[in-house]
Formats: sequence, structure tokens, C-alpha cells
Amino acid sequence: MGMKSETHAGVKTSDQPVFFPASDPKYFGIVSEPATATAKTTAVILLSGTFGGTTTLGRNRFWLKMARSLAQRGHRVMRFDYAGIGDSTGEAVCHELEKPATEELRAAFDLLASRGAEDFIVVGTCYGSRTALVGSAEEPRVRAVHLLVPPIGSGNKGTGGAEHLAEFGTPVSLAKKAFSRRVLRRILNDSRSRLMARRVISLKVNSLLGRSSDDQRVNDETVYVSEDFYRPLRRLLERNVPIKFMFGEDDFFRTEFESAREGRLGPLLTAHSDRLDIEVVPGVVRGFLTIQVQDQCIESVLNWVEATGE
Amino acid sequence: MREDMAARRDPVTGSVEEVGFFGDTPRMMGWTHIPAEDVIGGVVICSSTHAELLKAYHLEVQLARALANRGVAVQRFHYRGDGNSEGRPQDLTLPNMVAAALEAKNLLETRVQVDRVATVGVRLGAFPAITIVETGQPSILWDPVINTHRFFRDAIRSHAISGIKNGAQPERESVTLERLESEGSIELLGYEITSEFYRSASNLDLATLTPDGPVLLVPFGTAEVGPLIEAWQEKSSSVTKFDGTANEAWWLDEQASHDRHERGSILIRGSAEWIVTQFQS
Repeated sequence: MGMKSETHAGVKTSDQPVFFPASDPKYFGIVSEPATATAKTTAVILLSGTFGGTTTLGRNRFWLKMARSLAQRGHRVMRFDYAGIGDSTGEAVCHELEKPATEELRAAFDLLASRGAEDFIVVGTCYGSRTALVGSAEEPRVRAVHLLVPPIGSGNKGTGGAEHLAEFGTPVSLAKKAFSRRVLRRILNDSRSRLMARRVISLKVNSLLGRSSDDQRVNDETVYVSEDFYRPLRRLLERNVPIKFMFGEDDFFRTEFESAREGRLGPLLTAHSDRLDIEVVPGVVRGFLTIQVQDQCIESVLNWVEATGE
Repeated sequence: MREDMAARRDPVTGSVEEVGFFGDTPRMMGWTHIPAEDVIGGVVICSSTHAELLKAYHLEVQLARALANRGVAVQRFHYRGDGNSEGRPQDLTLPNMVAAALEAKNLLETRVQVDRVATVGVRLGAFPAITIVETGQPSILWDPVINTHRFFRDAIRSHAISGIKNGAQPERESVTLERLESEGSIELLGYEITSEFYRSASNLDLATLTPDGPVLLVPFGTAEVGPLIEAWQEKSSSVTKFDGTANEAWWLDEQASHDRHERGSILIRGSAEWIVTQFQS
């Protein structure tokens, strides 16, 4: 079960835990770098989804393996816990796609810059991919972005959002879901779940009545694209930042992305096709559920970093 | 503090968290939570492994902070070959987990002046927690794995069911185990499980260990802990069952944010207060 990515396995790396930013060390992160050589000036930041109780590890130490593999290739690499997760402080919050962890990401840019980084490559998945987009659009030193199964809609992380449920659920399937014991208890006990349920009902009713509930919906034929996805993507592409998308053939987010290419995203992606790379692999990538998928993603990121880095 | 360590002082409570690598190569990552005021005792938290390390991670951080706020120093750590520690997956075995927990206890005793050290064991971490605790010192077990044979069998079955859902041919448990021996490792639910880990930990019963101090048993879900309590009480061990978080496997349900938050708070407060009471008695 060897990892394909360990072609530089002989190179020693070191991990250093950090609390940051220095002025108010409330976030926890780990910086990996080559142990014996000076790190390259292009640093890499890895942004996990909010799976599990820490965002530094991932399934089967996926992010740790990716970080150490990149460090073996000479990069300084940082991964960290978002506020309220793992060893970072702060209240446990609902990680909404439209409230990305940009404060944490800005602090990570500053920390790596203070250690010699001159520019950055940002890698993210799910909630982390949205953080990567928004945060990179604000940071002129970002030179490339790799997005693993990014959601393009809105809503809470991991749910596909209210739009997903309203778009793809039938009235009967939604009612069945709402009256299941677990969901009903959540709706009764949790104000955020109540808000989510209200939004699903509103969107579904509007859709059944043929009304567009939101001016961001491009047209009824295409899928909803969040402004918080579209705007930073456009900004990065206009800045000539190379962006790579990676999906599994069977990922729901790939279906969503392909539908969006038929609509609003299409002209933007076509106009900047020379800066875009879209990789589709068999199966499901989201969640990195198998070691084969984990290895494929690590290899994709390593190759992309090698191609776009110094 | 060493150069390769990091530390932060909580601006509200004044407690300090130090994190860095410790022990011989491959080194382990460890966090020491040091109270701002007088220290009344110490706790070593023995996590579980693989997916269960991730599931309970933030609860363990919150427990460590709650204890530090009550004057208890805490040592957290990741086993070699797991979590953020160094090492290969083959380094993760049950004897190594016990040895690592002892190293973590020594680190805490070196860093902070403590006369009494309790342990907290989470799931599979119950085994090192009960093994290393000193006579008379308290232990808390969060949803302990009682029978490891059943634990592995359930994991293999879950993996098989997950595979069937995705169109894979089902594989008999015995075939999976043969493959584990012949290939050196297998994949279970996206995690690499090595034959070293399986051989060292697949046939253990928590009831055969004898706690030398008071134990607070906290079943998270529907785990049947009655026989374990009876077995330990027959050996004159003092066992208390904490029911504050019972009813359902709430901690496995990532979507039930309200439940996780509410029950997590009850679990942490209950566990922290029990440890303090034990140290004060």
C-alpha cells in the first residue's frame, strides 16, 4: 500500500507546530519544510474541509502526507486548524461556505512571509477551497490555486446547501427527510437548522411556482453559482493566476460545476481557458474516502505545484 | 522552552499551552496544558487512533482546557505513526501505545510539579490509560472499546458494507484477515490498518485488566458496559458510570451540531469536575 507520491522519500523533512498570529496567537498550525536544505521561496498552504475534530490531518493523515511530500520537494508548507476546530481557539461555529476562514488564511500568509516566503500556492477542498478562492483573490502574492472538489453554491459546509436540497429534492423526498427523527430533532433544537429548513422550503416553493428567488440565479436551466465563488474566481483569472479544478466523475459537485459551465461560469472559464486545468478522475473524490483517491489527489497537487511553482 | 516548540498563554484564564515533539525518534507531538495558578494534579489523555482520533479530537482539547482552568495540568499526545507524530503506520501497535502513554506521563511530570497523575482513555485509548495509571489514581474512560475482537470485526464489516454500496464484491472477514497477513496492511474505510496493529490489539478484553484506582466510565452510545462494571467491581475496583451523555451515539453524528455541542459540554464539565473531586478527596 505504498504511496505513489513518495518518490522523494529519502529527503528528510521537519514539522514545526506554531501558534499564530504573533500578536494574538489564537490559531494552531504546523509548518513542514525540508530539514537540511533551505526551503524554496514559494510556500504552500493546505486548506482542509471541516471533516473531523482537527483540520490539520484529514482521513488517513491525508493533509500530513501531502505536506510532508511537498516539503520533500523543497517547499515550506502550512496547514492549520480553523477557529473553533482542533487546537485553535474560538467558539465552535457553523462553517458556512460564504463565511470562509480568511482571517486565519491571512495570518498564515503573514507567518510564512516572515519566514522567507515570497509567494504562495494555495490548495483547498470543500470549505477550504472556498477559503482558498476568497483569500487568494485578496492576496497578490498567490501564484496558483488548486481546488479539490470545490462546491460552487452556498450554505453550510458538507450539506450541499439549501440550494442543493431545493434543486434536487422532490417535495415528497424533502418531507420524508424533514420528518425523520434525527432531522426533526435538529430542526426543533437548533436555530441554524430551522433557518436552513425555512430556506429550503422557500426556495422549493418559489421553484415550483416558477419564481426566481434570487437574482444570483442565472437562469432556470443552470445551477446556482454563489457570488462568493464567482467573484474571487474571476478576480484570480483576470490576474492570470493558474487555477486547477479536480473532481471525481461521480462527485455531486462535479455535476454542479458542469451545469454551471453551461451557464454563468461558461464565458468566464472559456475566456481564461489557458490558465485553467480541469482534471476528472473516476469515482468520488470528495471526502478522500479511499487510499487510491488520497494518493491520486496528492499526486495531482504535487505535479501542479511542480508545474506552477518556481 | 525549546526553539522547536510553540506556546500560547490564554489571555482570559492565564493558562499556558506548550506544543512540540518529544521522545526518541520517531518523535511524538505533544501538548502540555499548564494552569495559571497552583497545580492540584495532572492528567494524561490517551486518545484513540485513526478515525476515532479525529472524531474526539476537539473534545479532548476542550477537556484539557477545562482541566487547566481548574488547576489540573494536562498532557495530550499523538502515538507514533498516527496523528501529527512522526513514524510509519507500522509503528502504531498497542504495546507502543502503552509505552508512548508512559513517555507522555514522564514528560508531564518533568514539566510540571505534580504528585498525582490521572488518566483519560478514549475508545482504544482505554487500554493504555488503565495500564499506566498508578495505584490509587483516577481514570476516566470515554466510550471505551471493551472487546477489541468485536471492535475490529465491526470495522471490517462496516468497510464491507460501504464497499457493497459502492458496487464492490463483498469479501468474507476471514479473507480480509488473510489478506492483512499476506499484504502487511489493508484498507478499512479509507485508513491503512497494518498487520502489526491488528496482531497487537485484536484479541483483548478490557475486563481482564484491573484498575488500581477509581474509574469513571462514560459510555457515549449504546455500548453495553454492565458486564465490564460487574467484572471490575468483583475485583474491588471502584467504578462509577456517568450517564450525562447517554441515549444515542451523538458524537458519531457530525450533522447533529446542537447535540454535539450540548452533550460535549456536559461530558467535559462532568469529566473535569470528577477529576478535581478525586484529587481533592
